[in-house]
Amino acid sequence: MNELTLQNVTKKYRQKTALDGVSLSFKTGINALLGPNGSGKTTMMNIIADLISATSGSVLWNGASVSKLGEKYREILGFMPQNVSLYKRFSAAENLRYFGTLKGLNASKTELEIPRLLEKVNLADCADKKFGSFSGGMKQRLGIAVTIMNDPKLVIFDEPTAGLDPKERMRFRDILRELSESAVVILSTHIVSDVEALADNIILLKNGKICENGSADELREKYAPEASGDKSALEMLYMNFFGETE
Amino acid sequence: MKFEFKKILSNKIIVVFFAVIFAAALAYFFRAMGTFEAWGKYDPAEIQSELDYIEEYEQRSEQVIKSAERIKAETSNIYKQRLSDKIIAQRQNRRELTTGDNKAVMWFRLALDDTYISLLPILFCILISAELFCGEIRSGVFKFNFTSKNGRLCLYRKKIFTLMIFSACTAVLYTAIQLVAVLPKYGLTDLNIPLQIYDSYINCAYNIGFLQFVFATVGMRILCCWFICFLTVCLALLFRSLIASAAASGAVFALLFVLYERTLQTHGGTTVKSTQYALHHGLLKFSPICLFDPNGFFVSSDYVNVLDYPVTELFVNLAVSVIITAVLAALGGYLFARKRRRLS
Repeated sequence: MNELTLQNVTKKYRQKTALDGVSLSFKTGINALLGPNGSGKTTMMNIIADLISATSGSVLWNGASVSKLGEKYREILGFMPQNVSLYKRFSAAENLRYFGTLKGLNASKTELEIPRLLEKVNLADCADKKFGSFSGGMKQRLGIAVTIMNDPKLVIFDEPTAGLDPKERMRFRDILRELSESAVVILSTHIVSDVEALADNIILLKNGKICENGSADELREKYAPEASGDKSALEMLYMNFFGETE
Repeated sequence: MKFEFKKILSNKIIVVFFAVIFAAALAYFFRAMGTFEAWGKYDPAEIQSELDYIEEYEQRSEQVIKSAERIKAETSNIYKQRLSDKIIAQRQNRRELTTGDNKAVMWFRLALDDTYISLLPILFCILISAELFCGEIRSGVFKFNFTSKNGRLCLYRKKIFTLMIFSACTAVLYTAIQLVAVLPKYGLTDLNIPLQIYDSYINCAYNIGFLQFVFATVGMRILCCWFICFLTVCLALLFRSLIASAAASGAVFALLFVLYERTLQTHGGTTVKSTQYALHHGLLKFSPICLFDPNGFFVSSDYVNVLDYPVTELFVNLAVSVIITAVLAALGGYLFARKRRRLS
């Protein structure tokens, strides 16, 4: 069983504290970060992905510091940032080929995987099209393919369903369910319905601090018992905490 | 690494700039060749007899011979043979060079020795270095790269090897075009008129043949291109902006180059002792910038005391350049692979 732990992580910028003493544990399954804009979700994800350094605190993967693990950590990591940007002049297949090399995958294995991945994200017909000509939804889908191509054990998605139509969102949910059987999945989103349908664990974040942490049922029972079984209960919960909803 | 090449070659602006540089250089040199009406009309025996009668030497030639004497025990006849300024001047005085020949001499000297035109490959190196390292930061794709297993130092190594190969090819191609007007048609003998008017070669203080001189020039220029590439890479990783890093790198190069040119013009490469000249001399003579201009590094054969052992300036220049370039490469690797405090 894999586990990612944040120990008292703080991130301060000049005029703002983005994360304030956050301690969390993510286990195998889907962990959703829910919070309004500026709550610290993206900062937390960037710190977990080892893109930026925390001001204080540590991030541990199975007990070992991710900074010290270095390449070994990145080998099991899949990260999809908020705005997906790949190489505009490369085609979809070429982007996958390039990232296959970067992720340390065997070239012949990558060639076999490319059609399967493109099929999975419904881009099989666009293998030779340049990334620059893709729509927003297509870019998002190729970003998902790049993120999961190395069978990661820790997958981080930052607003992955932005720009996806309902059909593609359902397809993405299937991908997440499949991943979550053996990986720690961390998902950040504003879309409450996505969280409700998928998340094993929900973390509510506001002003860089954790407000609440638990499963959807636990939180519903604790904060909106009158709405038990109602599909909008989590939305009510969101509004109670943050005073807004999507 | 093929992907790094593709990133450069798929950028239309870079490809067009590359094509323009070399098309312009090719047209420039072929025009020089085309206007020289008297080529091939000189009898080597005639020139030899004139060499036998050369008695006066210009001040520069005396310095060249003295410099050569410091390197070799005996003055080589090759230096005398190279002093063709006198030959050209005599022929002009006797009106044996036609108007077209005079124009060709002027063009040829400009084409081979004009260091301002040879700066174009340097600008090209700045452009590809900035694009290769800023392009991904600008577009945001670096977030995918930096979270991949081989996305840090391994990727940096591939990028700089690509840059080194590209910039080396640029230096080789540019020098090849400079000489394409000469070698296929007129050969390599020292009495060859086009070779004789190549100032950098005739003023060379070292007893080396023409091809050796060419290879040495190419080697120096490659080292200069690499220095500029790594300098631009470091600036690109600091500024994270294509325009800012290219401008800063160009400004550093331009400043050093202008100071260098002023130093040569003011002092003519002599050993005038002044604080300002000593500062320029130290800053510029031992900087990689001088490597692109054969006039700079081959004319002087002054000695420098290194741990009480005399070594030529050229050797010190080479050593300093290699060290600075290696330090910049290592610094670039650190800047590329480090974890940042913020992404924007």
